Amino acid sequence: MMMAIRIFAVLVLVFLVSPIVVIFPLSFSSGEILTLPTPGWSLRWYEDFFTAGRWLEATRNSFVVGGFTMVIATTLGTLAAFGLNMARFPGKKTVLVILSLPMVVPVIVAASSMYVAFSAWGLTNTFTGLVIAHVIVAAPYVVITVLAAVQTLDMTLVRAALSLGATPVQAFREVVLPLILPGVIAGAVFAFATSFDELVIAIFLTGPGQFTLPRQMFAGLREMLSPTIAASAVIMVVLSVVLLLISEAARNYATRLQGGARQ
Amino acid sequence: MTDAAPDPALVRFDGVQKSYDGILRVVKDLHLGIAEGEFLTLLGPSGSGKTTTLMMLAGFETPTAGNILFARQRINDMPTYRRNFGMVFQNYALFPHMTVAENLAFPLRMHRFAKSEIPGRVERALDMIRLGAVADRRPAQLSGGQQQRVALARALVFEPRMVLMDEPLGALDKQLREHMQLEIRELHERLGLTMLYVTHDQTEAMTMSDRIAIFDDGRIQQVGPPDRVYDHPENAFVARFMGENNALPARVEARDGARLRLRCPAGSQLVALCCPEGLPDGGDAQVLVRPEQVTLGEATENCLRGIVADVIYQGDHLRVVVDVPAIGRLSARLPKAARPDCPSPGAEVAVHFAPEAALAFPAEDAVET
Amino acid sequence: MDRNSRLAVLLVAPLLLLMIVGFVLPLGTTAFKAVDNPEVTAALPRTTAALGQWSGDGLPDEAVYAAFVEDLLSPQDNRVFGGLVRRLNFEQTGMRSIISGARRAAEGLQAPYSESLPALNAVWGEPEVWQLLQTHSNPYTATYLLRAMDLRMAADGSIIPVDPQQAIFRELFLRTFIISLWVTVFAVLLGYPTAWFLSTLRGRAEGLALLCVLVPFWISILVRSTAWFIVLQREGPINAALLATGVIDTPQAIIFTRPAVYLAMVHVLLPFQILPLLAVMKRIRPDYVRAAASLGARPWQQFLLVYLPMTMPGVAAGAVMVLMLSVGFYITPVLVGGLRDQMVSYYIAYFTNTSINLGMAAALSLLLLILTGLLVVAAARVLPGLNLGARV
Repeated sequence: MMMAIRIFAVLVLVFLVSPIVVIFPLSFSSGEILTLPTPGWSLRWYEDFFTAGRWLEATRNSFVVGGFTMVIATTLGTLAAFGLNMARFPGKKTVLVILSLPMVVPVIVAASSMYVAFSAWGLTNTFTGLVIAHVIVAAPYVVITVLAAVQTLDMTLVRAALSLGATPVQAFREVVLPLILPGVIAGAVFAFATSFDELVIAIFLTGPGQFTLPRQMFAGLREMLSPTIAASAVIMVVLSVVLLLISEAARNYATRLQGGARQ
Repeated sequence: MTDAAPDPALVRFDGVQKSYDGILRVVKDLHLGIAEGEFLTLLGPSGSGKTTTLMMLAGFETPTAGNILFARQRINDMPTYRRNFGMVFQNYALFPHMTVAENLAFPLRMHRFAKSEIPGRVERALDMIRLGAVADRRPAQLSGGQQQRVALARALVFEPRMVLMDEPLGALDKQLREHMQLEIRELHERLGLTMLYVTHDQTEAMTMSDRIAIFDDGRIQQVGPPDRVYDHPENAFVARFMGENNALPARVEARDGARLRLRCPAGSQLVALCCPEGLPDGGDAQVLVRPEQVTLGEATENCLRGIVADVIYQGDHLRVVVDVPAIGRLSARLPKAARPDCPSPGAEVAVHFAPEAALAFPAEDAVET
Repeated sequence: MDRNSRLAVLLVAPLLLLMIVGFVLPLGTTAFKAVDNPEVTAALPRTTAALGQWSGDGLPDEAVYAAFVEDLLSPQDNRVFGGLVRRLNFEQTGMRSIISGARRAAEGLQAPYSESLPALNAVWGEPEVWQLLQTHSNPYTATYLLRAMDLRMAADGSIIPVDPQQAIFRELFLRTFIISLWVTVFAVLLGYPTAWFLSTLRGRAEGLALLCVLVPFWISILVRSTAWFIVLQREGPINAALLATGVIDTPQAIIFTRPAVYLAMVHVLLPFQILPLLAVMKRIRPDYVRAAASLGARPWQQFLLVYLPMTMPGVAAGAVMVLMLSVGFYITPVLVGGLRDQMVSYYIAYFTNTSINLGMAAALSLLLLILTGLLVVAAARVLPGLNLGARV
């Protein structure tokens, strides 16, 4: 019985990774049709990706939008997390509800609503508009991650620093910042990933001039299924795995430090 | 009291009060002096105000009223980092992202010791706690006892004007705790530092302190050397908090100088010393006797009869529990040598104690031991 | 407020402001657009003013006709007029040609217009068209919300069902809910044993198995849906494998079917079920099940009476997450589903981007938002302290 469940679970895990694994060989196919077995191996679709202007431009756009989103969302989210952790103030509950809205509102409703409002403000088909929208959906995750880090921070460490002669500014720089940094980094990586992976809002807010990589893939899927799409999917998978590893490393570092505050 | 006489105390709490909500006072009208080089312990149950008192001296809390003086200067509003007091925290509060050596260097850097001087001082501090081998480890890689010693060294390394300790041994197991008590006591004697120590463990307080201040309900109940507060408690709380007691209900019948004659409910007569606050004739009282003062056998004074309920072998002594009709259970602590003649459970025995060993206090409605 | 609270507010303010202006305000606009009705008044200001006096019985008088012709003749922004035509045509098919015809002919019309307009098109001699104009000169309308529930307001103000061939939205919401429910059921059935298996692993095996869940979790929904698109297509690996093994002899349509939607959606959402479950299961010490066993419980009783109840918070947290996300799903059904497998999101996108009927898009958004809100509130009731949205 237990064995049957274990086998079933392994099959589910295989189910989770197999479609992702399958696109790897497909992307290295030498044929025009995405099928297995591949007629031969080649890098032509990666060559296509890195030489065709629109794929490269979309990749660049994604990095620019993701980078700006990461910096702005991390800054605003970290400040807000500190504020939320610091004190009670009237309306704090409402603030928490508002900050968690983008996580519960269906993304299509958010995208459609932002499209209508942003077009009235002339923000559609601009990078500014897309970055603002991405900051709005990414920042709540930063708030959650940093808030978790700040809340697990042992406040007696700050007291200890003060008692050992550190001024409040020194205590923040020498003790608080290094300890919450893993949380901030995890939040920042998450903000970047959110923006880099985001499609629905991009569909509504961007024109061909601002196409991000997911937007370009989506357009490609609807025009003609070229193996370049498989190549771009593989590139996005690799990037996601890198981001996952960074975020896990930050989490591990944080847990290791936690071990010190245990006792 | 003359104005000219300089205050001998290094630290003085002068009518200090603390309230967090403006209504409930956690510390009520505290007057206390700490002499230079003294080891003073604040002892009391949780919520008695002892930790708040320490926090006010450390600068983490501001008194609601009254003054805190250090070397005759008011320091109520002085920020913590300028006070220059070393502090050891309950959970050590070692910085988890720094190595042991970096933790020790931290206060030296903050107090702007010369860069060239820091490594030497850190090394000497590590030698002092015999942890030179783990200088480059993170706190998480140390045992609880090692962490405790690092925390202690960190509070001493920058030569603070005094050291505050907030239940620093609470997280250690019994053996390690007893070992560290002696180590801290030895350090105190060697360095001659002024130390303020907070604990709720009376044995720990007795082991280490020059003087003990016993806190309850936001007030100091008694201050004095360990033997004084143990043998001459000024009120029932101090008597009960400082070690074990047998409490015998009685009523005052007559007095004979400092001695009182009392009568128990069952009719037996007791003779006891009167507590400093005094007792009226005919007043309800409780007579407190420590188990080690109770002996088996007949006597002319303070003799009670009962039935042995239990005899417990406790390694270094014997405990005999006696049921006394209408009074309750009485516990006697006997030397191990008494074992051969010890009665067995169910036997009828007489117990007695010296009048000098018994203290009469006003009866309390609900007393917890 | 003390100094700390003021500083706290100051720190929260920038993000809060951005959220209010950039998110709450647009959502509010959407809610407003669902009942907003500006087109008729904007295009026909005089007509709507004149109709205000009209009782609604019989035909309006000459003043109304004259005002209408004057509105048609006044130099107008074509976008405003286009809005009017679209709006009225949405209410009643055929209004586009009627209004456009009147506008084209307006210049040659002679007074009295109550005679020349009906001569142009008999519709203008009937009260219904004027009632329609009067009804929609009201600044608010329930049309969109009613239509989103396959209802409409009859000329006499009663609420009646729309024509059967126009009635698509109830089925749409029902389909959205049923697909979401099945996806949730599958996610729980697949996720529970998998999470349990993960919770029993240690060391390297645990890391590897966890990676199998975390990697798909971090890969964007688009890439995962694309992978299914590629795998399931007519020329794709699955068809190729089935052909090669001789199971089938012509490629089968797998993509653009309901099973394809289930397959891809369950795949995309499964990590959201597994991770909260795993978090709960890892906290359950084996002592509880051992205690049950020592007290005489058989294995199935140990599971049903001890382990399952203790893991229910994880089941519920994951299921709520999966249900909430699938109700608003867009990309996956669009890529691997057929037209009859699309959910509410598809129509919101359609009305926003393709048919530019913002009122309809807003009404559907509002209903979807309410549906999601009800799910969240119900979830919060069942599970206090539920941390929605936290990925791990």
